[in-house]
Parts: sequence; structure tokens; C-alpha cells
Amino acid sequence: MKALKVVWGLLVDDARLAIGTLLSFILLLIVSLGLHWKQAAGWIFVVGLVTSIAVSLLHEAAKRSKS
Amino acid sequence: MNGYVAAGSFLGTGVEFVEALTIVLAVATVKGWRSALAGIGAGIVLLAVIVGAFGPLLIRYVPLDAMKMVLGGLLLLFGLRWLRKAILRYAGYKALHNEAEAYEEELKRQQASTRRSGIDAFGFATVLNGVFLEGLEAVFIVLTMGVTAGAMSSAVTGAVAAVVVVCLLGIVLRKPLQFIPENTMKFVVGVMLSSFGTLWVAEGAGAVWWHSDVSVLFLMGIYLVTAGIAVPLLKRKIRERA
Repeated sequence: MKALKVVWGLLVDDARLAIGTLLSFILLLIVSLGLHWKQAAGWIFVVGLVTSIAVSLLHEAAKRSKS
Repeated sequence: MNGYVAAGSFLGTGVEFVEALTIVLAVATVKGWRSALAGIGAGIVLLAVIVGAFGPLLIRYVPLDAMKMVLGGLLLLFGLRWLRKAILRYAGYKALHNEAEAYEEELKRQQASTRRSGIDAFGFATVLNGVFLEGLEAVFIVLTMGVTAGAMSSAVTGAVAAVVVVCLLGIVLRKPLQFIPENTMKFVVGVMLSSFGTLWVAEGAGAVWWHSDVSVLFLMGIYLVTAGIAVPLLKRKIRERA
């Protein structure tokens, strides 16, 4: 259990970033495998990831301004 | 030799072992080198077992596309986490990691416990824990980059070179390596891991990149620009609050 916690801690320290990454991945699968837009899929994935980083950072900033 | 993989592995492993070295030096100063070296040995054996057990298994039995998606995904999560942390540090939201302070803290912690003759259990456990946990992140980078890029020897070479350099610096200087720009190194590794993770996950899901692997350079550029925009914006938010 402790080992799992250590591994989890290596990968995720902000839920928003992790959820955003997961949603971007789902979008990637839809665009690449569902719609077959293979050339665009990667870049759409990147847009999703950058948005996730932005959301995560803005949330951190909002949290600090409240405290 | 895959230069990108070797460089990522070198930087990632180096930055982790700089932190481990700080713990080792503090324990060795208070509890003696015997306890510290025993802890290092045990930690390295544990890490070698993980690499030896998982590396060949992954290469032999997992299909390449699945490996790209799963290991690339883990690498991506890991890289984005480092990138986010580095941006927050540059913007002043998180304290910059300082090896000299970490060394003093560990020194006090070790001095607070009684020193036992022979191998000191507390000192041994501290070094084992430090080397194993810091090393685990390094092993993670080496395994995911090496296996997914099909360049295990480059990843291992980069990691071994980093360990050798950090050990040599530690032996020669006998003090924490606070002059090494750890935060910058973590930022660079964060950008590299995020870029490779993005590339491989998308490839694993069937996406086709423009000019194939060359796209990784554009991805690095995109993450660098993102950080370049985010840091001043976050700094401005701090100033507005003050």
C-alpha cells in the first residue's frame, strides 16, 4: 500500500492537472481512433495538455490569493 | 546512442542524486561513513533489482504501441508534475530547493539521535530511504525513456554518467552541491519528459506527427513558451496581491 502511495506521489500532486491530462487523452483517442484525424490528433492533445497546465496553475494562484 | 534519451536520463538522474548526496553526507558526518556506505549499497541493490526485473519484462512482453501509450503516459504525468513545480518555483509560489538548508536540517536530525557503534540503524535507514526514494524517480525516468524509445543503453549510460559525476563531486568537495542549478535542471527535465511523453502517447493512440520524431522539438518549444508566459503572469498576480 505504501509502495503504491509512493508511486502515485511520483506521478500526481495536483488533481486538476491529472484530470486535465486524462480528459486530453480521451479527446486524443476520440480524434485519432474515432474520427481518424490522425494528423491533427497529436496537436489537439497538446492543446488539451497546455490548457490543463494553465488551469492547474491558475487554480494554485487563486488558492494563494485567498490565503 | 540516442542523444535526447541520454541527456534526459543524465539530467533527471543527476538532479535526484544531488539530493541523495546531501542526505548521505549529513549521515556520514554524524554517524560515520560505514553506516552511510551500507545504506547506499542497500539502496543501489534495491534499485538494480527493480531495473533488472522490470526492464527486460517490459521489452520482451509488452507490444510497442501499448508501451508507448502506458509508459509514455506515466512519463507525461511525471514530466508535467516537474514542469508545474518548476514554474511555481520560478514564480515564487514554492520555495526553491536549497541543498545547504537540507543538509543542515538532516545534520540536526541525525545529531538528535544517539550514535550506535558499528552500523547505526537510524543513519543506515535514512540513507537507504534517501537513496531508494530519490533513485526511484531516476529509475522511473531511465526505464520509461529507455524502453519507450528503444534506447535502453543510452538511458542507462546517461544515468550511470550522472551517478559517477555526482559521486566524484561529492568525494572531491565533501559538501552538498548547492552550486548545481537544481531547479533549472528540473525545469529542463520537466520540459523534456513532457515533450517525449506527449509524442509517445499520441503515437501510441495512432496519431501521426508532422515529420515524425522532429515534432518533439516543436513540443519542447510549446512547453517552453507556456512556461515563459506562465511565470511572469503568476509573478504579476503575486505583486497585485501585495
